Amino acid sequence: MNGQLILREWKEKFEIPLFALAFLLIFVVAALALAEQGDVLDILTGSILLVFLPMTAVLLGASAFIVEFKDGAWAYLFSRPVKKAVIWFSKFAALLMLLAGTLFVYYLVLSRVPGVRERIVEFRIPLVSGETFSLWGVCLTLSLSLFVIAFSLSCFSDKQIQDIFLSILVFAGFGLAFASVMKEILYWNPDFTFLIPVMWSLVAISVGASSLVAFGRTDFSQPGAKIVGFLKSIVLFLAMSAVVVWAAIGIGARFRRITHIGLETSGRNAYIYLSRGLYRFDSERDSLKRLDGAPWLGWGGDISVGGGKVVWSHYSLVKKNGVRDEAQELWIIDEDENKRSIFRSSDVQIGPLSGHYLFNYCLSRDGRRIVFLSQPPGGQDSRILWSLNSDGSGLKNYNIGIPNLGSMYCLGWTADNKHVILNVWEKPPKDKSPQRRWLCKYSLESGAWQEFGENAWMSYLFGLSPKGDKFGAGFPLPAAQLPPPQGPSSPYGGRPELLSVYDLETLARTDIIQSSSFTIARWDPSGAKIAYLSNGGTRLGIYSIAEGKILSETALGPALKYFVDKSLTWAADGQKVALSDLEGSRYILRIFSENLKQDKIYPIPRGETLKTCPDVYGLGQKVLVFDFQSDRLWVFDLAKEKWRKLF
Amino acid sequence: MSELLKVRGLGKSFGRKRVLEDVSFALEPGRVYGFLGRNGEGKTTLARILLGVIPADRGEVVFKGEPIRFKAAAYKREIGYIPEDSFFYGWMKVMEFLRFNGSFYPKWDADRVRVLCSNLGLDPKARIRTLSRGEKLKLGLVAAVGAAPDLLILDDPTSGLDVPTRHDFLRGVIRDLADRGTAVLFATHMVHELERVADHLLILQGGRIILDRRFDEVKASARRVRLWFDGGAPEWPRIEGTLFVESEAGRIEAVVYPWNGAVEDGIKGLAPTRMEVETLSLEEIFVGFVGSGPARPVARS
Repeated sequence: MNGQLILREWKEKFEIPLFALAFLLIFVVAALALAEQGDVLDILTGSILLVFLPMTAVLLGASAFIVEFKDGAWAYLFSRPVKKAVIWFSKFAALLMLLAGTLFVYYLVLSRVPGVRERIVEFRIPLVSGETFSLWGVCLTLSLSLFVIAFSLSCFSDKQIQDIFLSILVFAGFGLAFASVMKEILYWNPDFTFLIPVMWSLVAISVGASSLVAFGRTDFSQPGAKIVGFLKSIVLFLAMSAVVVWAAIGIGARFRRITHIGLETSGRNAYIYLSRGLYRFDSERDSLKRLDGAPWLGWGGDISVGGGKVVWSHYSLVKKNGVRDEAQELWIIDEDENKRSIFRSSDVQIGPLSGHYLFNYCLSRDGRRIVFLSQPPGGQDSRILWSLNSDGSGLKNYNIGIPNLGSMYCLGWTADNKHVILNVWEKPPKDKSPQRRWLCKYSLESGAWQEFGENAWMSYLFGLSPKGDKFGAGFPLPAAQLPPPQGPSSPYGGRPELLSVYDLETLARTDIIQSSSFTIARWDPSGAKIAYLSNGGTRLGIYSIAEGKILSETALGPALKYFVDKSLTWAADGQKVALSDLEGSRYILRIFSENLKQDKIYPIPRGETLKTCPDVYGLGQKVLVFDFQSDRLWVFDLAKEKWRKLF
Repeated sequence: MSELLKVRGLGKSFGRKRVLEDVSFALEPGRVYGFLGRNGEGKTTLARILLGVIPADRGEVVFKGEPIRFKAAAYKREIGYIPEDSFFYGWMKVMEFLRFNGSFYPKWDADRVRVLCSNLGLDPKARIRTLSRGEKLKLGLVAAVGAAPDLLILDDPTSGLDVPTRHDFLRGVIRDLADRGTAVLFATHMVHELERVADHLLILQGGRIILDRRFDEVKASARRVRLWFDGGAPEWPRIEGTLFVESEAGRIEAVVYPWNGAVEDGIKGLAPTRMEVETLSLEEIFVGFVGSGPARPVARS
């Protein structure tokens, strides 16, 4: 930049900000006089910030080269020993400083005028896709954008008024196009709100850079060449900006934090559903395979495995018949890894699922049928059960006749693939009495249901046996009218409790262990044994269903009082028990033999940084350790005693 | 003498109109180059290309041995330019403008500028917009000369000057600059003025330089010849260097450049009853060159 050029520019254009500041004085006097008339002050403040200051900006910008073109002084200026880029930058900097100074004085003064100050702070203007922006933010954006556009165009026009109108037109054109693009992008992914200032800045930079390039390169003696040069440059820069944004989104997506959506195990495989896609970890081959990429801009979802198949769902936005809608898609991969979409909720917009929120997909054990729940529009506590063949046909809903049914959740299929086990809640009582909950065996063929497990808990931490013939749950002792406990942090911690197992054929209940404060229980892969943590997580035991007795029990270290600090799983095909546990301030993996005698301890990688207990999943000779807080997944090889980070 | 500026094959078109076709010439320090051409021949275009105001379509300009690019700026510190029309910032005062202009030039001679202002009668405190055309031209002259340029390009600036000022300008300033080693490229339509100062002549026609010679050589070699015949005039023979021929009953008038013995013998071969040969003024030479007909081959020294 050239100081003399800046100084010359200031001397030449100082009247414009001076006029604006004189106007400010008038406005302040008017604002003070009209302080009581809120509506008038609203209009005045809005006019100043959204019309007057942006017009001052466009006037300043449009004045940049007007003298040079009007008097033919461009030839004089260009023949001086100073680069055209320096001329451009000097003028730009000089005028921008004048504008910035004007805006700054306005801000200083207006933020001290009672009535105006509050309006500036409180006014929020809704713009792109419902986002709201402060009055000052919009004023600054408008003013700077118009200034850049007017300045850029002033290089090519010798008529100031023409430049002013053209700048407003260009601004409106870019603004509308930009708003449309951003609305589209934000509709697909609201996370990209940050792109609004980035992309608008790129538009302004593109206009400015095009002006600079055309100013330096084109022949100013030929008006047509100037315009063509400018248009060529602006197309190029806008295209480059689009590529930069697109690449940034793509690269950003690769490096953004992985979010785990779900993890299901089946035999030796684990199916890991991440924000990046669906993966299968084969514990025997120790290999990780990506089965499907995550849909761009998709979110949410569910995963379920059964019969060698895996179904997963995600939300995406679709456009059908010109109408955009949120759709949930359900996909399936069969044993041969053939992938297909079996269901898209938007396809049934006019059907029975219109407007329903779908969740809790559950694949049958033979992989032939899927049940899921839906929440109808407006039915906050209402759930409807549906089923669907795995080829997408046979959509059916079930009118469960349970009286006073509030909510429910499907826990899985029974061994015969004809019934599902539901966790059921009654509608929330209007008085303060505890909400009743129980388990339900529901026949998908006859629609008949059988209630069991009144007040059962640990349905998720124990639940269905691997074969689907039994169901384990916990019960308080005595079965008093108490709200369900919440583990060791519960005020009922330390109370006597029962672990019970239901035969799902007869629904006969067998109380197997009596202790206090069970925190978790796990079926072994054969369904013959149960590993459990009792006494608030301070005792580990193994119970044999066949023998009907506790095989072994051992004391663990102290447990945290208010947080679950242990997770439990069977490992080595039911030969060992793996436990994530807190030792001092770090989490460790403890491996127990079946008789709970031997105990090997392996520090979990970065275990000292974990604030919550990681979940563990036994998978053949491997143990998966999932830190759901920071979405990290490790695999521990029991034979090699080595860790490997999967994600 | 070494070349200060060399132009090779310069071409420039505006749309479909080709203004400069293939312009080549060289300038040496300390010489005043009279640059002649009819209106619209591209003198101003050439000046603007040399100053990097507009780009050339093709060709090369070498200044002090260095090829110059359109975007380059540093070389302009050594080039002064006085345009045909004044285009200064009207709101500035004379001295304010000169200071502003001087800030671009490392060799700016403020003392000389003050002296020149005084000699030319320029009021340093006057607003530029209040100056007459002649005064603005004086200001342009001071702005150009104050930079102590190695090359001064004058694009027909003297037409608005009164006679005494023009005389002072040509004798006192241009000649003085040339004597100090500045090369002056002086484009003007007031051809007779060049006779006082020009060392060299460049004539631009049809987008090419058709004459590039020392002025004294041109002056010495250009002749007008008048021939009288008894009866009808014969057909003018193919004499090389014929710039102009006019024939009427029993009389032929021709301008020939260059004049030499072979030309004289050829003309005498027509057996005129009477023959007059006279030297020409610069204006007559210029008219002889650009008066009519297509562009002629380049004549260089």
